[in-house]
Amino acid sequence: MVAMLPEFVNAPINYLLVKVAARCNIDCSYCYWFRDKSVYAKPKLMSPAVRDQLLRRVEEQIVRYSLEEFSLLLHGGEPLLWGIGNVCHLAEDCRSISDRTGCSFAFSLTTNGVLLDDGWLDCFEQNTIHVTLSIDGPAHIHDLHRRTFQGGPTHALVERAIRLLQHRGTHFGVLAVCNPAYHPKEYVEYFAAVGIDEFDVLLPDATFDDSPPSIGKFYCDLFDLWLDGNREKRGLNIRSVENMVAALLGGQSKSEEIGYAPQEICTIMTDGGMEPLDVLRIAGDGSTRTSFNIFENAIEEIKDEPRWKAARDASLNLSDKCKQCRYMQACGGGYLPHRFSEENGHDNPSVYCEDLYGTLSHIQSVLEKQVYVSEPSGKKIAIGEVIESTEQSPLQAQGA
Amino acid sequence: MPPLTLTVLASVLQMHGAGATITSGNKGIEDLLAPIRAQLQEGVESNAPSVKIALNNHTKGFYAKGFYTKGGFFKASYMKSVGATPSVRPALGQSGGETAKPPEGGTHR
Repeated sequence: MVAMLPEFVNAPINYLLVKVAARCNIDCSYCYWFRDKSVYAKPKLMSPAVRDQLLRRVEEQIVRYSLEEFSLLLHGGEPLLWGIGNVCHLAEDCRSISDRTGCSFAFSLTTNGVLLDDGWLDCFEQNTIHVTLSIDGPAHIHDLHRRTFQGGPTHALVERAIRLLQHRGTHFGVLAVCNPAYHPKEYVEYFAAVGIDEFDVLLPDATFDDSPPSIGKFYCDLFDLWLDGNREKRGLNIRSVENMVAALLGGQSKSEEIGYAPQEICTIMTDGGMEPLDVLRIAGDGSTRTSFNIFENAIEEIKDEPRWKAARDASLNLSDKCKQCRYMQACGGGYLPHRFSEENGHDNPSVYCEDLYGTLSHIQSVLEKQVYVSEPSGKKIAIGEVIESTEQSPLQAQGA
Repeated sequence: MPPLTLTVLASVLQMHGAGATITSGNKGIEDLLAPIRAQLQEGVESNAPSVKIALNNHTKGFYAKGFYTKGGFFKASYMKSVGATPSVRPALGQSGGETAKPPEGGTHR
């Protein structure tokens, strides 16, 4: 079976991943960012000159393409190292752009939370900056990998940040990284205990040349927990699980981690360099390096940059194995950085291919029983039964 | 059973006649079915030979590792619905034009 591939509309870029700090204040063992040592050649922090040029390019992009919304994700390293003054200044300048153009801005910032204090919370509130906090569940899992440069734990510091955010009533997102050595129940129960019912558990970053431990059982169990947590009422939101379910139901995954869609992220480095998706740097030193930068190039020109184009093409041109797979569209070959090998570039299935296949199969088997066709008479039939009972399935005829 | 693409679901509903819909007793699944029902309904109303979905959300910037707006995510951040369907205004003096096209994607089969 070879599934028909969808086509995608070419839309102007209205979102940037902005690396305002190239360094971090903690030393996570699994961090993708420092796997590429070339990052140490970048300025530690984005300078005012780069910031101002970035804003000029953003306004130019907005005017040129009549954009109504523009999104900036402030990222690192650790973005709080950039300082409150710089973040507030950036937000103020964006408000001025908004006044001139009518374009509204959405800000988000992803932090390890260690430096978070009331001053930062004021800054986030005053500038409507959405915060995402990285925490790998309970301390005994989190502190395995997320440690200080002196080797100390960081969990207590992040918990302090959670309490600060909750005390101020600030909505925030939570990102954890999967550690398959533990049962996902430990993550779910921990987040419930600290009052977080919406989070994500990301796949650990690894290339096709690595041999990461299997994550299939973890995600099957995580799905079961999600299912159970939503049995009576909508009580548990786990983004990666919901992306897989949505994709299997024929909808869209809302993350580039899973689902068939082009990879079109533009990363702005601290020196103004323009690069493709930051996680692609797990392929090795300099793997995302380009000669494009915001002083020489307009934002939209990144689409002509060979490495950016190669990443976009690779995200859509799946391996032969993926093209034959029944979950091709729901999976999309997995996360592009996880497909890299020295031998084939990104022309591989995900290093987690078997795990993703197993997880999607498990979810599919549940959906077959728990999604119904409801007739006006009130009769409900499990969709799996409906489809299986169709001898000459129109689905087959349509090549579904 | 094949994966439940929109085409599969549309075909199943067609077999069960007008008024048939897809539901689930699980509140999480039911929540995720809501936009899919809307897309299926759109397909029925427009008498489309196949159900199309607006894949354009994926091609836009607000989708990456963790960042979430109405249209999508970026994995590295997790933002709760701050508006953002693909948002391109008609250029001044134009009523439409290429940049003002509503999102259209390929056929999801």
